[in-house]
Amino acid sequence: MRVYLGIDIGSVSTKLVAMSDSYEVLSAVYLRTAGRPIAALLEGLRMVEKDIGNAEVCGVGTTGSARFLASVVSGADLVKNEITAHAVAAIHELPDVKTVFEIGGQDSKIIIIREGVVVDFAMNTICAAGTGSFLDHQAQRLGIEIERFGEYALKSKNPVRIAGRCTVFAESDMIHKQQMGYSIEDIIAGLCEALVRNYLANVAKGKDLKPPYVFQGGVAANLGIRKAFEKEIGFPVYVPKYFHVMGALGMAILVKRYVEEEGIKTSFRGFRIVEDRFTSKSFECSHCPNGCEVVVIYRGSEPLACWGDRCGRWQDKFGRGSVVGELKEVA
Amino acid sequence: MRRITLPRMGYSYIGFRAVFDALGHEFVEPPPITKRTIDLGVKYAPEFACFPFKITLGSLIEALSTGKVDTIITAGGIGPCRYGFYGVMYEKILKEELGFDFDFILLDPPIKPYGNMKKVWDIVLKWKGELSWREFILRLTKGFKLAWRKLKKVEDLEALILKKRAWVKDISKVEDLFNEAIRKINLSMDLDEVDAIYKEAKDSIEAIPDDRGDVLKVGIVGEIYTILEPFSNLNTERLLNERGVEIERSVWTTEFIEYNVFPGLPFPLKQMVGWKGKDDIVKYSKPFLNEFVGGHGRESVAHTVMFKERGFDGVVHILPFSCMPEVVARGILERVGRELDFPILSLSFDEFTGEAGLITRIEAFIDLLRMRRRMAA
Repeated sequence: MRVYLGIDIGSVSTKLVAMSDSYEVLSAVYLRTAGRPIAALLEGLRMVEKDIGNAEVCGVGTTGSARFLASVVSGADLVKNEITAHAVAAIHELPDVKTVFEIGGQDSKIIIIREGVVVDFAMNTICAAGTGSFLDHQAQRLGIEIERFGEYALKSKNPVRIAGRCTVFAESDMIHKQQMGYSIEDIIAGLCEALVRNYLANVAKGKDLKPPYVFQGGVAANLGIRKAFEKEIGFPVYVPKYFHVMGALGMAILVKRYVEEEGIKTSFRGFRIVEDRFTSKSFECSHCPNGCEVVVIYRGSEPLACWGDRCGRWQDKFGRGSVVGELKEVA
Repeated sequence: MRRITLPRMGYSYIGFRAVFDALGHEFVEPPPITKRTIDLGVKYAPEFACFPFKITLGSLIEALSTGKVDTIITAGGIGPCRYGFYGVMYEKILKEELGFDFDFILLDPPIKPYGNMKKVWDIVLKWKGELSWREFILRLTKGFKLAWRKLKKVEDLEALILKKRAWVKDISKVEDLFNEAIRKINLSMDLDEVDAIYKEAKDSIEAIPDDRGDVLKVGIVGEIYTILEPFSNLNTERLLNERGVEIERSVWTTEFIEYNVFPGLPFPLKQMVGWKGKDDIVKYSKPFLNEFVGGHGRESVAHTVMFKERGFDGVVHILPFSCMPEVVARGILERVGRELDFPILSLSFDEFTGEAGLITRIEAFIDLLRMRRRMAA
């Protein structure tokens, strides 16, 4: 069986999807990146391999903030930004989708789609208010598992109003409301509403919102946020089955199309790489006052790629193979 | 003889160098903008100052720290936005706070109803130095002519590589030729030689065979400093070029000078330099923006509409975070994009801007543009 692999490594979570030729999801893996993207990727590959047995991997696509790293380690055929990946997956799930809300660990996006084509998009710029890691943090502070956050929110009759403009204010306002004696349920529901308001006022500002709406990304698991969205926009919000791995699913679809259109053979390194030792080292380049921190990725002692230099001195030469020797010495 | 420097903005220093060299002063080239420049600027500038102010302040600190400079020259005495404070702020921070000792020459637009002729006269005397009047006028004319020619040629080459880099896979070949030409133009003291260097570089860059297809066309609008100084926008133009997007800028140093100097000239002189006014800006910014909103806000809107009319695929709007005129423009550009069905990407920059988010936005925007092309075909 031909299988396509989509990999999405974000700041908080790592997602992998193995998809068959007929767009059937054979394996969907979601795990914490925990600051170690390479380890998370290898662990994810191990889990996918278990699910798909010895099916033939015909293409690998990577996305997310560690997409270049993931591509180098896995030997990917296609590297794409997460906006395109998310849009492709949403369109695949709901072909007439017009608006996609995506809230992940560190960033949130809105994608506007018309007739199956992305026409506009935005990402949160400065503040992480309303993203998954903030919710995580608040759940921890309240001593509630993040998985049960939504459940609490739904129990609320009277959500309190919480300042959602920025995480710091939201948190101090929440503490204030707690100390005033409001119930945990009302505070959590209030927080969900504040985050949705903040999202709509900042990320979705000036965008042409139209139904049908798709809500995806890890935060879509949160029933409270889901309900707050529906209350705020006055339309039902569709959460796809694989909402938590949509970026990876999008990449699997994109790489399938790409491999078929171009008729190429995959450069996937194979599942055996989980046995290899991948390391990254960084050093400060001393060629100019920029002092760029150059990162080099090694497999064993062989440098695979490098980046981080603003001028391209290391990257460009690496492309031509002329600094490989120098980089070996650094290792 | 003075040892003069000025804040760096793209290649504008090449023009100033020509003028001061001709007058017999020593021009100290401002060091290229690096992370250290920005760190210095951020450290000593007020937190809410514009990003370009922070960078240029850092640039001046670096130049003064070399000990080779006794005069700083800069524009920004009056201005259509916070730029109007730059001059006073530089002087206050550099002299009072950091204790540097130097002579500060602030260039205001020369002749305006509120212009101060005495100030202009003082500047003239400083530039003249020991020269005789006859010699001074001769040299000044020669210097200005040379400066203008150099700036124009450098800009023509920049415009060329902003297109060419999109068509070739190995852009370093293009950049090597470009950098070499810039270096030579900067050192040349002769009009014909400048032309020859330009011609040679242009021909050899154009002769590089194109090995990429499906190139998109994108216009750049926005705040002048952040556009012209690549380090301040994390080299956005190059990031676009590398991904197969050719670019046309709507703002240039020479145009900036024209806009600031020519309107103040008396009528016959205006005719002589061929100043046509800003009628096109007023015309094309309607009906979206009917007022002057400071800086290049109105220009950003007008140029976007012009790019649309000329059949470009989209526009990238570059602005420093919190830049008032461009923030106004950004809000209006959203409406322009919707009503004209024209993709516009606004990118704001400051010392906190991360490259990862920038690349994601740029790549998603390019995907969007390619998709539109495919659907239209």
